[in-house]
Amino acid sequence: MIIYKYRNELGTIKKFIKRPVADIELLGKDKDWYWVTAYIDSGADISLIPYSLGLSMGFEIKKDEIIELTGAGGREIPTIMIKTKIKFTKDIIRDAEIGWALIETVPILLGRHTLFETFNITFQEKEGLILFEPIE
Amino acid sequence: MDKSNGNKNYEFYINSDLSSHSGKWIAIINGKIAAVGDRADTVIKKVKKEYPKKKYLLSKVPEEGLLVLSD
Repeated sequence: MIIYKYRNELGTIKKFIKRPVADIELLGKDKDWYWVTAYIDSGADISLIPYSLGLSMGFEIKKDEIIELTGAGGREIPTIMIKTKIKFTKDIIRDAEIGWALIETVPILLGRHTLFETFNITFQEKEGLILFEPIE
Repeated sequence: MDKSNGNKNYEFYINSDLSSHSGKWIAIINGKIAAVGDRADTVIKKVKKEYPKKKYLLSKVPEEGLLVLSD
């Protein structure tokens, strides 16, 4: 069982809002692991990384691979889908297809595609915990 | 495995008020901020240069406001 936590962040509706945050490692094209924090977003179809992170990880832009994702408010986000691995713990590693957003103004998101079907995930907002139970 | 055990950098990110770094990328080493910048690539370069053997946690500190993560 992996246990992640909520983080108190400054919000608009309330002064503070609790957001679910994971720390994960992403495998770069350069074969380095990049340890990052990511919002756990059960409403996001895919996981997403911003432009400068993908660049650091050694990925390259191929114009014919750019797709337009629809983000919040209908905003279009030019994105390239990349195959990588995500390390949750040293023993729990998943193959993943994630979106590399070609803009900087997106957060790192852990979305459903290729990941959520490999865990039972429980959000315990009152306790401030998110439980990831691997499905074998 | 409980992430709250022995993961000083993650705990620091979860528990710290980082509003003074709002909108910035940060690298955390040993529970302290080791580098700050506007882009992930510049922060990674800085931290690799100054702490070549240290493992760091990279985070993008959110700006104040409503974060709509998906439609």
